[in-house]
Amino acid sequence: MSAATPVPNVWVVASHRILQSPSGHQQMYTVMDEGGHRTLLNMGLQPVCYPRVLPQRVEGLLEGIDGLLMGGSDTNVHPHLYGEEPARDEFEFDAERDALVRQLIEVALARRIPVIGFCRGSHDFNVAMGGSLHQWLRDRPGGVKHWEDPEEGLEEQYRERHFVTATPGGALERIAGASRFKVSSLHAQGVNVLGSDLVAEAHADDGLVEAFRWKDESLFAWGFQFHPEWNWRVHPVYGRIMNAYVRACWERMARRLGSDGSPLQALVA
Amino acid sequence: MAKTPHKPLVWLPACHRHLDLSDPGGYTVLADRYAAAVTALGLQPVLFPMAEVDDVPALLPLVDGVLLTGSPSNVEATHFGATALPTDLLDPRRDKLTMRLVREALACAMPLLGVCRGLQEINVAMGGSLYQQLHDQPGLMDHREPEHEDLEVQFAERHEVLLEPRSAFAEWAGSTRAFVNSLHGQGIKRLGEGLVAEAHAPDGLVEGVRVMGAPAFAYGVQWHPEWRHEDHPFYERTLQAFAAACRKHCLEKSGP
Repeated sequence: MSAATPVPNVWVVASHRILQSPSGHQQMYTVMDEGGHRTLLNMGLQPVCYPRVLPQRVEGLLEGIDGLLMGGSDTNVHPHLYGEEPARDEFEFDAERDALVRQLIEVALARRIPVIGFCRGSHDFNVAMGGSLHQWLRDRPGGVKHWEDPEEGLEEQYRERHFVTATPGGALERIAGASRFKVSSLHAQGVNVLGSDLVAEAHADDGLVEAFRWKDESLFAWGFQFHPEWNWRVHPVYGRIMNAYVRACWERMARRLGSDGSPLQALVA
Repeated sequence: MAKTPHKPLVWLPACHRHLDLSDPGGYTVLADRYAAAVTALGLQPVLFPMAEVDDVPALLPLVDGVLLTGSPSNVEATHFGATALPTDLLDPRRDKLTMRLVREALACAMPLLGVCRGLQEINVAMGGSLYQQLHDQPGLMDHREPEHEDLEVQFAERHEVLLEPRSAFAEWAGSTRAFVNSLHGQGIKRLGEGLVAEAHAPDGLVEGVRVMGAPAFAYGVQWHPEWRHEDHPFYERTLQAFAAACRKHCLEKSGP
């Protein structure tokens, strides 16, 4: 068998949800939104998921991983993790994901594995670092509509809905090559108190944190409230963000394999 | 290379579906009970989401076993020269991947276990065919689970299987008969090339197969050994035999 050219492996964090079968029974499933996978595959990376991973295996498995990707989900981070009770009865939770991401993020930061979180994934990141969330943004004044309409189609739901402003002179402004740009917005919750060692890099006009990073800028470890993985080919800022992440994954793989680093041309001009 | 205590890895090809009928999004999903069983065996489940046929040669060397799971979806009948029924739930992406995965896994001595849809995939990949609706076949039983019952009822043992004397099945069961669960609408019609039928339902349906001359563990079962395997010695021994083969594969791969 010919040896395949190695490409970075990205651990895609799954959600865990009860789904119904045609014969009427309900069972727990590991569920992954394909939007993030498609982007990784299109950018030349290999998505991997380890369901039901035991805590004692996480560190060993991360040795072979070059990036962590935490996508969105209809489930919410459990408010107990930031000292609150659930604000609404209809919230769905995912205790397995809550527990796993804390450990994944801790090890990833320590081992300098790039991290990207979108939407719920950014909430995972923030809460893991000791931050808290606004549980129901509709109750928060400010005039920016952050949530999608359920009747809309997927393309419509992911369209750019409001502007964000990057911190002047900040890392996001450099990565994105823009200081004010429009983003998608499909979320009911958002960052309230930013976690320790996290730096806000973009805000909506109502002051909500829309992008943040880990304090050490030399490691790509970011949370985005919007979805840079969606339509990254036609949205230059999304493309540049994803490109920066992909580059960081290639660099991590080069370090892991002890090679000189595979030079990677920018995928997006 | 450092010790890798997390191995062996077992690749479980995922399914693709919507979360419910009103959900427009595409999702890659795996029923948790398979992952739980693999973990309970001391192995690590791994998913390669959206893996395609051309990825198989690169991905297979990363793992130590392949477990083809059951699914609400059916193998599309075009793969065995028939036409899918309007009522069939289909997953053409999984079909496409597993048709090749079965053959490649066998070619490189990768332990392979097919469960329910997984057995049917092995059979079709080896050139066999399926009954599309067993319950419409004269002389065959209805092998489906009762609708709208609790899982415990749906996964309860429903019929006997007759096991070939001196087969591995008979060894795992400690007998030439065992009771198994039954949750399937399709079933083996023409046996695939190189498959040996070693377990039959009382109506004659092939429920357990071995790949003849396979260099590693290569079995398929129509029932669900992952269900409550810890309470069911036949299921447990089946899975343990698969796990032992994965461990062996892992050891031989890492070499002395």
